[in-house]
Amino acid sequence: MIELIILAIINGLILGGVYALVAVGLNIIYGVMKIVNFAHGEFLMIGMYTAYWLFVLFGINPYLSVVLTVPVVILVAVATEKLLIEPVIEAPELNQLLITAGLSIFLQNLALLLWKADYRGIPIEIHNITVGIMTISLERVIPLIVAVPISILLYLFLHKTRIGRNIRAVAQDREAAELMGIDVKRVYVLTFALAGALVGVASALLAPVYYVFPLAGTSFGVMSWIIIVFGGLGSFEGALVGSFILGIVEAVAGVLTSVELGRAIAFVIFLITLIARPEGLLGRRKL
Amino acid sequence: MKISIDKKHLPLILAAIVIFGLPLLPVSPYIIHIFTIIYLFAFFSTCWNILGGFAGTLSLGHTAFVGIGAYLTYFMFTWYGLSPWIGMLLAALASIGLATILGYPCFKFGVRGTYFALATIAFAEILRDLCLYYRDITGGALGLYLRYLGFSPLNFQFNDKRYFCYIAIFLWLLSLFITYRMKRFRYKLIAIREDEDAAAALGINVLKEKMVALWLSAFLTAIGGAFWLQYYRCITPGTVLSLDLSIQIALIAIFGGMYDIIGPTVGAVVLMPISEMLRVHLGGTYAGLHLLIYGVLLIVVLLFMPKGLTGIIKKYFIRKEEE
Repeated sequence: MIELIILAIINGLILGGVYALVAVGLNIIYGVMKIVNFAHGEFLMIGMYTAYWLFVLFGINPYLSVVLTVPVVILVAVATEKLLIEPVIEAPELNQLLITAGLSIFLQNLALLLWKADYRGIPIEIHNITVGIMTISLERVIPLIVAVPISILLYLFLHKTRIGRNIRAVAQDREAAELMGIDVKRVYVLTFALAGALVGVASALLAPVYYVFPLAGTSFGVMSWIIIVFGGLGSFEGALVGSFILGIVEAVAGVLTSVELGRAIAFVIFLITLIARPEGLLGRRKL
Repeated sequence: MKISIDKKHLPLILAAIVIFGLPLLPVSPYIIHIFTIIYLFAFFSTCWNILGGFAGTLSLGHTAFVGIGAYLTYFMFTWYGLSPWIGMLLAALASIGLATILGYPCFKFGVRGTYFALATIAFAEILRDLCLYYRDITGGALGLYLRYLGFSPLNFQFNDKRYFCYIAIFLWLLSLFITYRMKRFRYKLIAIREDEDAAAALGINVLKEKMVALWLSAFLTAIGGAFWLQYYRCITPGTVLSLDLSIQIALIAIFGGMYDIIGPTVGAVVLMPISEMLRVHLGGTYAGLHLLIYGVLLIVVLLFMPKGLTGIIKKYFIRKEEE
């Protein structure tokens, strides 16, 4: 039993690494533009299909396909920002939410129309590593190994570079940033591009170990907005910490009960946070 | 005896003749089916609009109330032989209880706008997950099938779709009547929508009014859920507990115009035939097409006509009067 739980915690950490890549981007978008991007999971799905087709058509290793999934998802994200978000940036926030929800439905069903509901897997060789009594496949650990340095790089980017500081300035006070001569519209595009790049990386890492299907991104999308509310909306560290905590909660609850109840418990945590501590775990800390 | 008809009532009488007369025409059951779901969704969206439109408290979890209405009515009928006519009222009361669990803490602690919308989604998803988990009782993802009894009015079962169509019309008229008659309540909700803090300062009990709106909406929506069960005789988490249904209900109201009593009805009349025909005729070869169009419509409406169809019609007529 204890081995099972330890294994579940390790699985939770791995899951948390993937969530982190998706949720941090979602939270940067929220921090800068105060928009919950409902279609974030669908960006991931598009990236996964890109990796899948690159493998099927050209035999490109899914990990190498990252050089193409990243630009593809960035393109989708930037197009979303330019065509859908910018026109409603001043609109009531519910309209913004519903627009991204509409985009999410559109992308899911576009994938369904184009590629059917089939679960597609990329048949690559899986390398198992055995530690003591536990066996974990290397391919599932890779997302975690990659997520950590990427998060550090992103943190440095936001704090040490001029563009990063511009993004944080807009997140803190849009009007003041505008008065200081920052091109806010450009920052918005950059924000979506940045979040898209993170999702692009995540999709290349996920494609070999998860099935690719039209709803592949949905559970990650839903989970990542639970994570950012839990961790603290607009908080970089919050999204990171929240990803690992909820990843572990989901995995452990899943082992002890079932996958459905594990999900339900994550939702209950989300509701309790929303009501009792709306600023989230680390809400005070901003980007 | 001479029957005199006031001229201003004429359009109403004509509308009544059309509404009640159409299902009597010798048309195929398929057409009757389309009428029925137009009225059913006009009903759902009008109920949704009490909270979403007037109070501006957007819910994307109304599927929870549909689901609770459908599942509880089924259980009471199958386990205890309770007639769905009574069962659905009990299920609707349960739906009020459920709405309170979600709504009271949310409204009490100021969960508003986007946050409330996200909370309602989470709430509906919890119900769906529980429904999938307790598959011994709920049938899991495969759902439940209602025993067909033929023509049995006491058990809310009929052998002709026309009966269902008239019940749907009744439900729809009921929801319109309620939203039309609750004038003072409606104005209070609109005040809350425009500015919650200002409304509170004017002496409106914001918490109470929002709760009542939620209760009313949840109660009626659950009745609609019971109707769904009796009409389709099949309920699954993928239909009556799905996020898609929540979004569909909200979209119909937003598309038609969520600031008007009649808006959700206009939305259902325009959208339901399109989506149903796409689903039936192209659903096999082009699965997902009708939902894809929903997604596009949602985006287009919010980008170009946030006040919906009735908003556009009004704008057009007011301009004409000015000229």
